[in-house]
Amino acid sequence: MSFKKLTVTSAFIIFFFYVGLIVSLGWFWDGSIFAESLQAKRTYYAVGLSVAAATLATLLALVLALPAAYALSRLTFKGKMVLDTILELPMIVSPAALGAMLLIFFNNPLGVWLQDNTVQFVFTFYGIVLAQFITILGVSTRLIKVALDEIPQRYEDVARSLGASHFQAFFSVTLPLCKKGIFAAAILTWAKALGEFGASLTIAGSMPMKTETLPIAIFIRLASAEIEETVVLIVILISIGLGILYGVRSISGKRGYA
Amino acid sequence: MLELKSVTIKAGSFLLENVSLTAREGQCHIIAGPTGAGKTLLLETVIGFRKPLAGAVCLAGRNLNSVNVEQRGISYVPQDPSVFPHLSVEENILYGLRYNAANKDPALALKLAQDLKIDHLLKRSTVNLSGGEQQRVALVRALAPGNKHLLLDEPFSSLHESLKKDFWFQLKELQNRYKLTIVMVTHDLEEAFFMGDTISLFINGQIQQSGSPNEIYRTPSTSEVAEFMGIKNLFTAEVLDIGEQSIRVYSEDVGSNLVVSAETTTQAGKFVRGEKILAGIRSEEVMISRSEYQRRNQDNRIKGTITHIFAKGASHTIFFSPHNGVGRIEIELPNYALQKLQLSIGDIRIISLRGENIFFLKKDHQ
Repeated sequence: MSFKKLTVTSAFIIFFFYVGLIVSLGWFWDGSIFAESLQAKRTYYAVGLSVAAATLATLLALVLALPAAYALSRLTFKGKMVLDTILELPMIVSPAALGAMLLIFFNNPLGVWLQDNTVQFVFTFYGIVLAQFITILGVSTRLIKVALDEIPQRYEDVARSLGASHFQAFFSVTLPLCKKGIFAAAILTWAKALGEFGASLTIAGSMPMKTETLPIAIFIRLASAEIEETVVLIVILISIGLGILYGVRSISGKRGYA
Repeated sequence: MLELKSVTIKAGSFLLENVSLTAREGQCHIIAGPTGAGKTLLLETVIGFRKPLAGAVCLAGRNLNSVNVEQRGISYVPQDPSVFPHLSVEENILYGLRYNAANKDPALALKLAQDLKIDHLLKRSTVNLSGGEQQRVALVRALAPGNKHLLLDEPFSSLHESLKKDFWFQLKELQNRYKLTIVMVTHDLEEAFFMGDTISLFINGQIQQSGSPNEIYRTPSTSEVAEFMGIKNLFTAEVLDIGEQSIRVYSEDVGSNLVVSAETTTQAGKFVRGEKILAGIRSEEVMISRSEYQRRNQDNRIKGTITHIFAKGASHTIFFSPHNGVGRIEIELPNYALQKLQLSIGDIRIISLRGENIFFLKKDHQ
C-alpha cells in the first residue's frame, strides 16, 4: 500500500467509525417521538440553555485565553512551564472531578463569600457557564497559542520599529494574521462546551427547565431507559453541533487574510 | 551619530561583552562577520528588541536604553523582509505613517516607491511578490516614516547575484539622496566593500577591526580577520631585522626571506627581533614569472612547483609548492593571465611576493 493510500484510508476509517455510530442510532429511531420532542418546551429549553451557556463560556474563555496565549507564545517569564502544564488540567482530571472541585471550592470560605457577594453558581445557569468555562479555558488557550506560534514574531518587531506600540502592533498585525486560527479555536471550544456534561451536572444539577442542558437531558433519558427519546436528543445535539461547525468552517474557509 | 558604548548582551547562553561601535552621520557602517558571530543580536539591541546588560546604545548622544522601540526613530529591515501579508503594497509602505512617525506625508513613501520602481505594484497584494519586490517594499516601508537611521540585517542575502548588485546601487543612491545613516550587517565581503564607508569586522563576539574598506583590505589586524577575509596565504615567520627602511623576516613555510618596507606595515613598531609572527599575502597579489630562473638568495622570490590548478569560472586557483619551504602558496589568476603564462601542473616557476602586498600579524592572536 502506498503512503498516500495508507493515510487516506486512515482518514476514512475515522470517518466511518463516527458515521457508523451515528447510523446505528437508526435502530432505535422513532419518527413520532422525534416530532413530539421537537414540539416539547423542555427540548427547546435544553437546546437554548446549551447554546447560550456554550456561547457565553466561549466568549469569556477567549477574553482570558487570548492574552494568556500571547504571553505563552511570545514572552519569556518565570513559571511559564508550570503555567503551560496546568492548561492540561481539565484534560487530566475527569469532567466529574472538575465539577466536584468547583463544588468543593464553593463550599470553602472564599467560594461562599464569592457566591454571597456576586452570583449564585451552584445549581444555576451561571454554574453551567462556569463549568464549561473551566473545561474549555485550557484548550482554548492552547489552540490560540498554536495559532499565534505560526505567526512570526518578526512581523510585530517590524511594526514596532515603524512606530507602532506593543498594543498597536498586536491589533494591526498579529491579530489580523491569526484571526482564522483564533476563529477555529473559538469554534472548537464552543463545540466542546456544547457537549460538556460531567462538570455541569456536578455543579448545576439536572433540573428540567432550569439547569438541564442537552447532554444532561440525554443522560437523564438514558438513565430512565427512554432509548428512543435519548436517540432523538442525540440527533438534535449532533445536528446543532456539526451543522454550526460545518457552516462556520465553510464561511471562514473562503476568507483570505483580510 | 549612532553608538554602541561598551555594550554587553546576553541571549540564552550566547554572550557578547563590551562591544563598542560608532556609525557616523550619513555613512554606511558595515558590520561584517561569519554566521553566528552575533551580528543580528547587535542590531536587535540597537533597535531595542533586546536590552543590554551593560553599556549604552546612543543616538546623537542620547541614551536609548530606556526608550521603547517605537520611539527610537530608527528604521529596521530584517533578513526576511517581513512584508505584512494581510496588507497591500500601498498599505505596507504607509503603515508607519499611522503611528509615531516623523513624517506623516504619504508623498515621501510614494516618491520612494518610484525611486525603487515599485509604484506600479501599489494596489497589489504582497503575497505573490517576488523576493526582490518584497525587499523593495520593506525598504520603502522602513524609510517612509522619515527616519534618517536605517538598520539592515543581511537584506540581500536571499537575492540572486545580479539583483543583489542592482540593490547595492539603489541603496547607495538612496543613502546619498536622503542623507541616511545606515548600519548594515552582512557576511558578504563584496557587499561590505561596496556598501561600506566604514567596516567593522565582528568575529568571535568582538569587533576585531574597524576602519575604511581600504584599511581593512590592506592591513587585516588579526589572523581571524585575515581568515574571514578569505586570505589563505598565512605563513609562520621569524623577525630577522627591523631597520628604519624595512623589516626582514624568514618564513620556513615559503623557505625564503621576506622583506617589507617599514612604511607599508603599520605594525612595524610592534615587533621585536627573533619574534615569531605571521606573514600574509592575498592570493590575487602573488605574481608568477614566466621563467624558472632565479638568482640565489633573492628575497621575496620563491621557486617551486605548480601542484594543482582549479578552474573557478572567471579565474583559476593555483596551488604552488615552494622547493625550500614546507607550506603551500595559493595563487588566484584571471583566466587571461593563466593562458598567457601557459601554466600546467608540474611546471616549475618563480613567484614573487611583493613587499607592499605583504602584511605581518602578531602570532599570539591565533
